[in-house]
Amino acid sequence: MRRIAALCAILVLLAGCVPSVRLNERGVVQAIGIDLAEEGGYRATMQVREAVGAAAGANQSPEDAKTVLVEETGATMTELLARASATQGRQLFLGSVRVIVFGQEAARAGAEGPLGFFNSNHQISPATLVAVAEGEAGELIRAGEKDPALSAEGLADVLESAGKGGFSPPSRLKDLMGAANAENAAGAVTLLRYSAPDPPKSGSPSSEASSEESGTGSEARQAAEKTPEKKLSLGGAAVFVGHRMEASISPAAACGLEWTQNRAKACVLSVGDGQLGEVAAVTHRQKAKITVEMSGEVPVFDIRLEVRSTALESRLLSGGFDDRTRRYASALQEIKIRAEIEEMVASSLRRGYDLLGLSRLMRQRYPAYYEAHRENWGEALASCGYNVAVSCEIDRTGAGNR
Amino acid sequence: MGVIRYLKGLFAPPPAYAPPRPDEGADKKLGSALLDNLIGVRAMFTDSGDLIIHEVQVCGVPCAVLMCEGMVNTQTFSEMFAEPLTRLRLEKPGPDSVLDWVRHQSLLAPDQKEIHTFGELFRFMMSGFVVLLIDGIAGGSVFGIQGFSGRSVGEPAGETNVRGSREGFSEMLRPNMSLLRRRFKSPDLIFEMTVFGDKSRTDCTLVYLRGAVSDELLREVKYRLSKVKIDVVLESGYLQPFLDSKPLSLFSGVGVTERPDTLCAKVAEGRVGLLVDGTPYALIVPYLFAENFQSLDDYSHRPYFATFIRWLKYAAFALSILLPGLYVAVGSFHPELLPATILTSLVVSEETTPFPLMFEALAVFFIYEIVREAGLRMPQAVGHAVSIVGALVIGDAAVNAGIIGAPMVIVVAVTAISSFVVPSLYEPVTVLRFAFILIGGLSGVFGVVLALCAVIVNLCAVNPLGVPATSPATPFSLYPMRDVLFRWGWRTLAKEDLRVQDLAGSDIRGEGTADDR
Amino acid sequence: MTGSRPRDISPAQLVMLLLLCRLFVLFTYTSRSENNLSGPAVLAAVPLAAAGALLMLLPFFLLRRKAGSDMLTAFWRVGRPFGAALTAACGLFCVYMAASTAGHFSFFLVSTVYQNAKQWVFVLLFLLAAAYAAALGLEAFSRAGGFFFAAAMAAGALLLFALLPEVDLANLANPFLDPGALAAGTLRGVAGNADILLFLLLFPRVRGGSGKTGFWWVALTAAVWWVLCFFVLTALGDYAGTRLFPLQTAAAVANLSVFGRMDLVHITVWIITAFLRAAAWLYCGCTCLRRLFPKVRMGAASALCALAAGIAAVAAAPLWEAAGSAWESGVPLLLLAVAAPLVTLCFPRAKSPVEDGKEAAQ
Repeated sequence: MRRIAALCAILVLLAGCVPSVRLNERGVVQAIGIDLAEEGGYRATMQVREAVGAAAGANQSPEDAKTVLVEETGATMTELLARASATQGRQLFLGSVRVIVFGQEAARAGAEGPLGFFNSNHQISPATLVAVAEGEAGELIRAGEKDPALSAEGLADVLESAGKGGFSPPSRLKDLMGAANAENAAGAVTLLRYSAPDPPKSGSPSSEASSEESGTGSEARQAAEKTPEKKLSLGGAAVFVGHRMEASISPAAACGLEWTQNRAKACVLSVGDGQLGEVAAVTHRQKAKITVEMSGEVPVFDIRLEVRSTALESRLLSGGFDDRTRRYASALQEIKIRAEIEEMVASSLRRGYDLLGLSRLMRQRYPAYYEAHRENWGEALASCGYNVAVSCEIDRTGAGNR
Repeated sequence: MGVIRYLKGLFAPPPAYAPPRPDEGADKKLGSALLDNLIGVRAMFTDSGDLIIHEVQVCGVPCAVLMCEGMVNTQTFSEMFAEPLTRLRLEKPGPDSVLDWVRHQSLLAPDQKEIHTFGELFRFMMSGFVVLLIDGIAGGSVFGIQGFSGRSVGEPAGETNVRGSREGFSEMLRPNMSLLRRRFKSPDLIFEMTVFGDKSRTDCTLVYLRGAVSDELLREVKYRLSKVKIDVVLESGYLQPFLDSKPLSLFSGVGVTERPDTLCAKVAEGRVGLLVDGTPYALIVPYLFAENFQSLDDYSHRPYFATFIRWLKYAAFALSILLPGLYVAVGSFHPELLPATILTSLVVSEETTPFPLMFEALAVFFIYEIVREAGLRMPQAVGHAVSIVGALVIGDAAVNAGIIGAPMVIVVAVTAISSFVVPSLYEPVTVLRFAFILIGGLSGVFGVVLALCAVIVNLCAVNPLGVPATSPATPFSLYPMRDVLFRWGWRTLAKEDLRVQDLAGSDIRGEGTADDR
Repeated sequence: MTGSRPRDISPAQLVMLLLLCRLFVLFTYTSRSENNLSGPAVLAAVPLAAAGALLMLLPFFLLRRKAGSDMLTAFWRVGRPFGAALTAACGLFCVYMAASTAGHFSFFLVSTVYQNAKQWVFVLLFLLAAAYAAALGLEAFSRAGGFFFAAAMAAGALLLFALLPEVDLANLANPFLDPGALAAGTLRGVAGNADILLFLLLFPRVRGGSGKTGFWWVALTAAVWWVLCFFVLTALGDYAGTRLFPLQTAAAVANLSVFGRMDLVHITVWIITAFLRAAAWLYCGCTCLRRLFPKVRMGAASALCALAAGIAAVAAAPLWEAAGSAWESGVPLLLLAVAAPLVTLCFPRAKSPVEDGKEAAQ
């Protein structure tokens, strides 16, 4: 009994030695945008979820939590967050961060500081999504205050869907940091574009129709010019070497990257031409293999891809969905995929960015060559040969059941 | 002479394992003079209004019939005792002939014994026996024609079954013994009568199955019971600490049951049972931890369902101990482990409540225990008030007033319901729950897991009467595991008899155990 | 039955206990250490280190043939000063290892989970619990080890299953490409296997133990270690080198439907393994202490050892680096686990007919 009493006494005396924070004293950060501050350092724009005050009454529903925008600057991320916590009167909690967006300028300047901070913070999961915004990340985050599609959940959904659909690489902190830590490798994350679509030219039917709806044509045109509605779209992928964004690749090249990495699992392939019509299929099996052989002194990388898909929809110009149509559509698929892969090769590998981890392959197959070109691997990569072979087959079809 | 000694032994009083502190005159022998005996009885039984003494002449021999009021069946007394005695005609009337007739030529009661001391006289009389003292005979005879009111055999309150017997023990010892005997029609089922309580002289019975029980186990049980030095034994719980190896441990190595079928099953596995007069709760030793999750229903249901229910019980036990502590720990120290939606709900509810999670949890569970205890103790007529107070005040008004959060009410409700799935562990669960809340609120998941490790080691250190309490899980025995995590079918269960002394890690060895095979 | 007596454990219980103790080391691996969990050489280093561990057990089993299972008793048979010196050395080593366990563990906690807390609080609570377990005796915490083993294996299986989608075999590399790293990793794996001494000190308490017990322990541990390393390597790849605790990172990456992050699983298993390991080392420290001072009761011995370990873990931090470096060289382990039995074998007195190791009183 004395031992139990002593144990209880110890427990009580130790109260407070392990500091904790009440949940309502935390600001739950859900999305962060990092840009360069004018005065140096970083500027962070955060979507923070806070509970409504007690005056709103007890027994509140989750809808009574509101999202607030917090903007703060600091020389380092630690200083920035400390200031933000102080100004908000709540300790910012990073455990629920879904998305981290870097502005393009900040990414090109080097994101080692923020990435290192996020990576070493145990609250942040390594599976947190990371993206680069064309322009300012803060603008994108601020837009999320009013537009649910651009909230943290919305952005995360966009990134995850893009990754699953094979439109962009898996943009996780783990993948980016892994590539940054790897030798002679480059990483890629999704590039987000938040911009207004190109305005229609005056005199076009759409512009006249819109001006009639809104009244006087000139007033309508002015109104449209003043408040263009921006939309979020995928701008391809941002290429990182180490912690710095070095380049970007187009959406088509990003797709090509996904093909070669076996990540376009349920990708939509829509092909067509003036002879066939349109056929839309979804891939259900994919197998990519990259091998390397030396051709003299030059390594030649063979990129082979087999894709099997299910045709779901067709608008054929003539005839039904027979074998000939199927083979024709498959050939169009091969052309499309090959083009995407070749664009990826041209925009990354030919420029010395090893997005495919070919350095690892060379280290295993031809270690002597790799050791000889370790220091200038980018240049060696640019001069290698690349053969792309794609084989597509539409082996299942939902179309044509008439 | 040997026969007489044997006959005397049949009527001898049961052995007392510890010499009782003698009451004044309790050891005094009954004399042959009836008047002296009656004076002695009246002197020792002063001022008590339930003593009935009838002085009668049986064949001209002065006799006295003693009984306690309300404890004798009057009809049986009249028909089987009084009438034969009053109508008795002997050729040579005298004290010896009357005694001889009573002993050898009549059957006045099925339970008939001889007494020699005032202590025995009072004990039997207060157990509902009728005492016959004959002038000229040193000693007396007692006749078991009890008729005191008692609770009849009914469904046990705490151990209900869906499919199975509805009989439970009652407060009377001998009917309880009959319930066991009916289920175990074997001469190997032994009832050893004994008495505990220096003043209360409570009748108790050791129950075991000869051939199944380990001699060493039985000796140890008797040895521990011989250490009992209590004046008054009113419930089996008074004796439980004497049988427990570690009375201060959270988990007891002594089981309690109200069901005769359960006791029979345990006794068949080589355990020893203890029935106590005045309480329907029998003790079973040794009692393993896994048995808390077993019930007789398991053996009536199909194996897959029984296994599912078994797992449900394990999960309920874990929930009842750990859920509040983990909730407090994660909410206070590790919110990153919570999904975003739940986290938002918790943040909102925390915003409106004045107390930290730990104090909230402690307060709510404390109030719950008050309500539960009140529900047990309050008169049934106002029992409905408890549910009103509990549901409305705590469940609704407190949440609306913002004193506690709705998630906490859910945690309390789930925990409370889970704790009743394994009622035999309610005591340790309640204490551990509070401990884990405290530890979780002070040190987070680290403290909760560390405390859980200490509790498990504490449990593993319990060896009730030499049998590991965590057996057969650890030390591992494959065959007995067929009834722990899973409940195999009866074809498997019936293949081999399980005896508790054969479990791995047991250091009791009796005759005919696994070592001899 | 009416008094207490020491109770032995089964070989399986010892294997499970020591496997969990070894798992703690795996959990504690940091990416900063040269024996990098995520390095490609580790997949070959693990089985090689296991072979080395088996070799290190040989001197003990040679001694066992002549002098019985209890190594400490054999030391004392040679002579009182010899026995006392080696027993004291073993005891100090055990206390050091308990302190090391507590220190490493609290370092992890304040590095990752409780970043604003004081380290000494965790050391205090941790050693308190471990001392309690040690005081209850070997049988108690080795039985608990059975439960913890099942829980750890189940948790590990769940974790690995959740990591499956992250596995990329391209992250594997030829482990023999860098023989230097392989050799260094193997040597460190052998030198860092302090649990060999734990095995030697606990072996007398095993009912029916034999050389197979040692083999199974080493083999199973190596198998589990290899599987965990494989998954961490293939799931994290180069990312593992950027995080302080690769296994904890793998658990954070592993995401299984409603379970979400598996950090909690990792933390739970790690606390359990740390607890068992500290309890085992404290128990061995108590055993050595009570050989030197037989009148000391188990509870008091456990408290003393825990106090010493706590002071070493917290207050002696400046000495820690030096101690850690000396330890990692493997010299103390070689001296106590290999040299001491071999030297003892040379003394004829040690080879006297064996009383069974059961004289190792609790």
